[in-house]
Order: sequence, then C-alpha cells, then structure tokens
Amino acid sequence: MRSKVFPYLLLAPYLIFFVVFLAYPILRGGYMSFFDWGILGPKEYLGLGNYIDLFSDDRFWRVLGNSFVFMLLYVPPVIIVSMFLAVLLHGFIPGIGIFRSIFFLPMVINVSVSAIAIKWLMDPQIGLLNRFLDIFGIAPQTWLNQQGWAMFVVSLVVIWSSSGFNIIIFLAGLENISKEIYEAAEVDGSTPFTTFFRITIPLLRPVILLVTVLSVIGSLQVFGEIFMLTGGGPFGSTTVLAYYLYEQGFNNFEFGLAAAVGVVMTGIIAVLTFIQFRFLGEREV
Amino acid sequence: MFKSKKFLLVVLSLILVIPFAVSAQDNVTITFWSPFTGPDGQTIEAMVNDFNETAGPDMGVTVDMLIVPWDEYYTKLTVAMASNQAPNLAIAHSHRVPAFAEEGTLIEFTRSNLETLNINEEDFIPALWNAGEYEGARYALPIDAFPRNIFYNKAVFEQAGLDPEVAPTTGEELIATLDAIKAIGDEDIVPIVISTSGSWAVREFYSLYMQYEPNLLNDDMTGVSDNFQEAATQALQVTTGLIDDGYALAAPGDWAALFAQDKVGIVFAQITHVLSLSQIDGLEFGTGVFPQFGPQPASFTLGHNFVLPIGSSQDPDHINASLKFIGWFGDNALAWAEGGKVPATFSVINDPVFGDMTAQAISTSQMDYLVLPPIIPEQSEIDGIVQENLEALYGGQSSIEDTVNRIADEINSLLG
Repeated sequence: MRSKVFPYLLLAPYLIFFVVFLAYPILRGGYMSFFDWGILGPKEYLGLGNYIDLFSDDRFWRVLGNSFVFMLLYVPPVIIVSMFLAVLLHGFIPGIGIFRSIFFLPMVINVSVSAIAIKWLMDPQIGLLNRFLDIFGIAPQTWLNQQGWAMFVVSLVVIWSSSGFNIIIFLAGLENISKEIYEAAEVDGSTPFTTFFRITIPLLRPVILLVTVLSVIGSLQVFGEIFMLTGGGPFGSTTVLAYYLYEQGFNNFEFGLAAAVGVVMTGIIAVLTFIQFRFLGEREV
Repeated sequence: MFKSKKFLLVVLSLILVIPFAVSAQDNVTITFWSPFTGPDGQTIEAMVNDFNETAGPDMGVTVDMLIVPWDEYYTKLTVAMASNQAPNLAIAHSHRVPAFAEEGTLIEFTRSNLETLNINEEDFIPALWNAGEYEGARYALPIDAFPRNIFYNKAVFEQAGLDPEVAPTTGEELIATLDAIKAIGDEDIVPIVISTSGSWAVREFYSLYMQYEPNLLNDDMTGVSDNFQEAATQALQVTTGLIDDGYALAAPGDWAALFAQDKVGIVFAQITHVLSLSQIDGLEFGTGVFPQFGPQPASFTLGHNFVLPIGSSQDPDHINASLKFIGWFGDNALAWAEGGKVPATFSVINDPVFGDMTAQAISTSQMDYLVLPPIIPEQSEIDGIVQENLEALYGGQSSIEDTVNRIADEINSLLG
C-alpha cells in the first residue's frame, strides 16, 4: 500500500504546481477567449468572435510576421553560437571556470538592468557604440529607432542573454559523448573538422533538438527585452505576439482578445514543436 | 477576598485594554499606490511621512504607500483590480480614467464625498476638473497638470548672444533663437531637441496640432475631427521642418545628458523635469511656455489624479480615510508643486509662495488654454496609433501625407 502512494506523494508538489500555475491558467485562458472579458470578468459571450476579430485584423498578421522574423534572427544564431562556445568550453583550457561563469552571467542579469545598459550603449549621441563608429567617420546610428535595425538589435540582446543557458545544455550533452569514440576517430585519422561534423553533431542531435525546441518556444514568447528596449516600435516593427497580447490585455483591457492571442500562440508553438520532433527527432544515430 | 482581588484584576485589565481597543478601532490604515519614482517620488514620500507623523494621528488615518514604477504601474494596478486586491487609493493619469471607469473598476466620488472634502469645483482648472468625469459621474480628483513646455540652456543662450532670461514664445521667435544658436558654429551643440519616438513624440504632436485644431475627435467621438488632416499636416510640417532644416536631431537619444553638458540649446519637454534638472550641478537653465506656431494658443497637458479603485479592502471607513488624506494633500498642494507640477487649483496657483516657484509658475500662464486628451476609454489606443505612425514618419518610412491619412483611417476604424 505504502509503495503505491509514496510515488504520488513525491509527485504531488510538482503536480499541484503544474495544475495551479500551468494547467488551470491555460484552460482558463482558452475559456476567456470566447468572451468579451474586461478587468472584472466576462461581459458577453462572443463564441469565435475574438478569433474572427483577430484574424481579420491586419495588425495581427504584421505582428505574426514580426514574430517569425524574430524567430529567424534568433533561433539559428543562438544554436550555432551556443554550440560553438560549448565545444570551446568543453576542452581543458586554463581558467575554464571563469569563462563558463562569464558566458553564463548574462542569464542571471535582470532584463531591466541589461536593457538600460544596452540603451546607453546604443544611444545615438552619448552611446559607446556610436562613439566608436565615429572614430571611423560613421554617422551615429539610431539602432533602436530604425525599423531595419531595431529587431536585429533585440535579437542580438536576447542571443547574448540566453546563450549561457543553452551552453550549459550543450556542455551536458558533450559530457555524455564517450571519449573512446573520439580516440577511435583520432586513431582512424579523423581531422577535428570531420570529428565535429561526423561525430559531435550527430551524437548531439537530441540536445540540438531540445535546444531548438526551447529556443523556438522562447522566441515566440519574447517580451521583456522588447518591452524595455523598443516598446514594440518603431512603427510596430518589434511588436511580437507576446507584446501584442500584453497591449490588448493591459492597455486596451480586451482580455478576451488577449486570451485568443495566447491560444493562437500556444497552437503555433505546438505545431512547430511537433514539426521539429517529427523531422529532427526520429532518426537514430 | 479572593473574589474581590479577581474583580480588581479584571477592572484593571479593562482599564488598560480599552484605550488601545478604541485607538485601534479609530485608526484606519489605507493602502496607497504611487507611481512616482524620480524627484517627485521623493516629494510624495516626504508628504506621506509628514502626514503620518502630523495630521494622520489626529485624523485617525495612516497611509501605507507602495511605490510602483510607471513602467509596470498600470499593469499591476489592473491585475490588482482583477483580483480584487487593489489599494484603497491610487494615482491615475487623466486620460486613463475613462477606460478604468468604463470597466467599472473605480468608485465614484459622490456629491457627499466632495462636500466632506469641502471641494469647490470652481477652484479647479476646468480642463483638469472635467477630465475626472465620465458619463456624468466623478471618478477622479485632479492633483496637478504637467503641460508641455520648453527648457533652455542659459550657457548656450549666452554663447549665442541671446538674453538668458528671455525664452521664445512664438514659432518665429523660436526659429530666430535656433538660428542664433546655429550661428555659434559648434557642431556639437544641438539647437533644439524634439521627441521623435515614444509617448513624448505623441504629446508634442498634440501640443502643436491643438494650436491648429482644438479637437482631435469629432463631436460624437466616432472619428477624427473634420479639420484633422489639415491641422495634423501643419503640425507635422513644423516638427519635420525643424529636423530637415538642421535644428533638431531625428534621433535625439538621451537629451538630459547633452543638456547637462551645455550641448543643447532648447528642449521640448514637460515641467515634471524641473526638479531633476535643478539637481544637476552647474546647469543653468530657464523654462518657457510651449511656443505658439498655430493660429490659436493651446497647451496640451496631462494630469495626475486621485482615484478610489474597487477592491475587497474598500469599505466606508477606508473610503472616508482616503478622503481625509486627499483633503490634507489638497491643503498641502504647494509641497507637491515644488516637486515640478502645476497645481490643479487656482487657490494654490494664486498663492504667493507658488509665484516664487519661477519655473512652475511660468507654466501657469498657459492655464487659460490647457487642452487635455478626449475623455474616452479608447484614448490609450489612439495614442498608440499616433505613436506608431509618428515613429514611421520620423524614421523615414512614411511621408507626412501618408502618416496623417493612416492616423485618421486607423482612429476612424477604431471608433467607428
């Protein structure tokens, strides 16, 4: 009897947390999306009204486009950079612990703090970056106020702040690859380049899948950096789904519509995750 | 003997406990959310402390203030309202009040409340007073206004051979002043800083627009005013003209840092910055009214208000306690004005002590033609539309004509 109950007792803290803070809000969000929902609760049942409004709003499609642009600017570079740095940090070099800490540090810095520092760094008049460019006669750039640059800068900041986490996952994956395989490859005359592409990457496939899935999910949920750095501008060019959801809910008090955006986001994430597992996760190495 | 001792103990206990019980019952603690974090944050904190140490104990009211920075203030207030955990008293911008009132999240200030506070409607600046009313009910009591104004750097003015005690008041005077600053020949000095992004760009647009057309929306609030396109075009010709003619930067960045280094002549800003600029060592600056470019004087302003959010902690005792604090705050509004605000009441504006606050007092010359945003729940969305399109214009992504047409179309679509 004890053995049957005990595992559930161990699982209980997580299950309670999961139900209260994840499952219930998700279901509640889905329910809200069918209503005209204000600050104090439901005003009117709309059926699919919020979804119809959403899909017939040009702005929503622009926002969706922005989200995919961000995903393209963020996901491939963050995977490549994190994997590259993890491989470097996996070797035995003096002061490895210091390097690992340095790369992980941005992860623990609060978004608000890093955003303020980056705003100063990129200020068109007093920013260090523009002062540096000035040495080469390049005119000051308004990185965060130009439609072309703003999303690029935001993605760089998110890559910088999140790569530490991915590096740790890649390092864990690298630790799991047996040294004997590398030794055998070396005996067979494999070059470092060939070893990396023929051994490291194939054996890291599950980790790459994990990092890709997490990065795609993270890219669709990005909010803090955009809220602090650009406020969705200029000209709405950095307004992504999560920021649009926030605007609808907390600026316009359209919580039903915001919930519909959340449901659509969840759907997109689910489809993309399924596709990634389908195409990246199946092949055995 | 034993019984009488016991009786004596009970009586003594009651004597000791009753005063505390009465005191605890009489004293009401109200929660108050304030979004002020800069110099005005220090001012309101000092005022609340002063109240809690002096008048509060006599009134039986303690104010427990929580400072929530502006960036997250409305988000947290909204969540608190939704979860029935809102504070007893809060601050809200005038243009935010209609949306909160429409959602049913604010308690009305009744006629009896206003009588308790001894409030005289005639004493308030009309535009501010009217902005606190929505659909015939009063939901907000104004405490200040912060109209757009200019700050000018006296050192730069002296370098340009200008009188450092005289600020330009019209468009022609402003251009002449900027020409003089330009003539200094120092490329590092920016003649004027205007805002080309964010909410300040919107406020500057409204400031100019309302000099050409006082109404942003038509009479029945279903779309932009009939004269919108023409007035908006003229307003934007002013701002883009300042950039195109080399007076202003398209992307000014951190203007306060440049202003402090005597690298900026004039800034379009708001009076709330007066205290933070005063705290910069060695900076000599003056204030002036927002220059008049259009045919009619108009000064766009926003204001702060006291509001009573609904919530589980609200009951007649707490509402009454909030009213007592509001009343005390009104009586001590001079202290608030010192923090860089224009008072909401004429009685304070006409006080000689306020007249000595030179920077703030200059703004009061605009009192007769203050203009606030339309009193509709959708105003925040309208501001968002205007901001997005202005950023496209200043970012070189759109022409004035396209910008104006798009703003009009989007507002009409929102309200229509």
